[in-house]
Amino acid sequence: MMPAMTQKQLKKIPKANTEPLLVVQNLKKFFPIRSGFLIERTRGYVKAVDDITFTVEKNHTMGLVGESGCGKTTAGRTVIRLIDVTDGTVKVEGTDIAFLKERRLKEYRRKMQIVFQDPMSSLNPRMTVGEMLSEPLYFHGLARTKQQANQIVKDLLTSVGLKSHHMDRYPHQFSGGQRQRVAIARAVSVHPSLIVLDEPTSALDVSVQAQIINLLKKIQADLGAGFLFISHDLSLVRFISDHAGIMYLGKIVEQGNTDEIFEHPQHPYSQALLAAAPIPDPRKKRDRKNLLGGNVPSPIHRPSGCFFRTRCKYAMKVCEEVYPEYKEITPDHKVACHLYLK
Amino acid sequence: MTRPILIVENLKTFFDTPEGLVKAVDDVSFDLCQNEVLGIVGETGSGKSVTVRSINGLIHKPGKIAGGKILFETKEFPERQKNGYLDLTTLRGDEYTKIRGKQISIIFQDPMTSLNSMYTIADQMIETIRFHQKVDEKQALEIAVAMLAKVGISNPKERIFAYPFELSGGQRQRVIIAICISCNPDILIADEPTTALDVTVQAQILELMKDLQTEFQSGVIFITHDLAVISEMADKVMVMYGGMAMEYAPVMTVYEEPRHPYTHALLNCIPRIDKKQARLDPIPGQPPMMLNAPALCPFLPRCPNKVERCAKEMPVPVEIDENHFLRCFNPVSRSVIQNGAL
Repeated sequence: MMPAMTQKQLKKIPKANTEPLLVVQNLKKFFPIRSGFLIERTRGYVKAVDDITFTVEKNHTMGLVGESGCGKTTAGRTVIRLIDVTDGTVKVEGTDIAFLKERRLKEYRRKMQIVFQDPMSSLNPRMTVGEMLSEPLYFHGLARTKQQANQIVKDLLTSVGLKSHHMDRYPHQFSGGQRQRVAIARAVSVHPSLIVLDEPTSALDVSVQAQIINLLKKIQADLGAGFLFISHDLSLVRFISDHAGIMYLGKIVEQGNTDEIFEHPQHPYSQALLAAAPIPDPRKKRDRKNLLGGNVPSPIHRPSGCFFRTRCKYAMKVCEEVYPEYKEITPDHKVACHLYLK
Repeated sequence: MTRPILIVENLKTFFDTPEGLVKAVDDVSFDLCQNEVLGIVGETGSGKSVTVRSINGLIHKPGKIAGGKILFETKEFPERQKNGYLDLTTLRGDEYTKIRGKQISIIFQDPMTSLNSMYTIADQMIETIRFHQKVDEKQALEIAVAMLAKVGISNPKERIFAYPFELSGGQRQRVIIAICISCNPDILIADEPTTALDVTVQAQILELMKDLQTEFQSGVIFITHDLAVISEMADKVMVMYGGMAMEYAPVMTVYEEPRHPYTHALLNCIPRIDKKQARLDPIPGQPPMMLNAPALCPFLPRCPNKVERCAKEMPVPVEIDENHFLRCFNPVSRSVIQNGAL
């Protein structure tokens, strides 16, 4: 269903290689906390993303899940260079783009697209859908004339379940679900190989959410793109991702095959998070023993050693001293916890 | 059978806007007994919040209660009562203050906006307590501290002098709950009390509410869009769509034998954390436009079960089993439910 590309356009896209689509290694993003009048001093850092490593394969979905403030959104934005990287490598199809200059980044801007959470604020209210969707086409040279652009936009709109006459409408004339379809069409329009989906359905009702999720799955099948799916909704991540990572205070505490993680969570935080999620079945009652007390500590003053130790019922002496390394439980399941490091 | 403390009969709340008439709540009936939790579930704009705001006398212009009765068992205004029930729709604004906050309290969704950020927790709690009970300031403070301890705020004697911004989201919601139960109300209304909270904090608040409900034996109306939360909290469930109650039944019936096509479809389109699903079955189309809606079933345009009769007249609620009310001409058959994925 994707709009056909001309031979010339096809040449612009380099041949696929065998490297994984996206390899993120030891990625860090620190935000300085400055204070002082006239002479600003850096008092410390919010370590929003602290040394995370993961891979996204073509045609696969990697889910990042965690509570608010765990750094999942920052991770998504840093990976596609919407915000600058503090340290680490981000390899897209084999090229490290973490510190690439803006001019050389342009090609990768096309390859990496994002769909934001709130479709009302991510769409320009003063542009029609047609204008909004053709702008990236002109920018990346996928369309030269208005006629070409219009044709591609019409095909795009049908491929996301809208009508071609919708191109003359403004965002406010659409419902939330339709707006998110427009945002998805915009991301897809430049044939990206990686799409970051930052809570794409959390502003939508459940009946519409299912439509959008199914649309995303269809687009992945058509485009063969890799998805980085960011959400706080555990059941949604379970449904859509092939691999998942559970984040807590800037770190991925556990990652691996989605079913493995949801059926046999190993990290005490993962266990508590999954136990806290309500299940739509009145016969299943929550396991109260695993309920977490307290709140997430401030990301400015994280506890020493393992950040989760202040709320962890298994906390040991060693947890205060060092942050645990990853331990492979199975080849496709890693957990960072001292319980498994003996 | 126990005598209900609240009976809502054919409640209609309409908003007469310049663009047209919005029937936000249309012909909704239910009752609530002491020590019972009624869950109202529905999507955005289904009328669930307006229903409880009508009960609490919080409907402002251009909205008005256009019909129906809200019968509440109370000792106030004995001269106006019938069979021990007072019709709340007959109360004037200032008369409502004898009921609201004292006998019926409401917990709102966003704990930041429902607390006044200019006053300490102590100020806000003492104000409520002294307004409804004949106590002096010192006694009121004692009650307030005791209530904070009850809702699990650690060190309440000091924390009570904190301002709302000094508390986390979960703690703020605990404070709101403390204010609401401080006058020992007969009915506690919770309007999406955990939607703004993270999943681990949500679990804490839900467990707290269950404990308090067992202790105080009050009637609770719990509103949410989350089918998982409602399955955990409620004894009986009312499913709303387009301002109407579509299905109203005990919680087990709603989840295991949902006869209304909307309930059935809704349960099939949510992702589940506890099992692997191959696909979601979305409900096609968009939520209804409430402006000048036709006098037909609001779910008609999206309904897979529609029959000819649906396009001609409005179905009325029918009791198909004991305590199982349904507004539909062509309910989902029992065999479909048994063969389905539910």
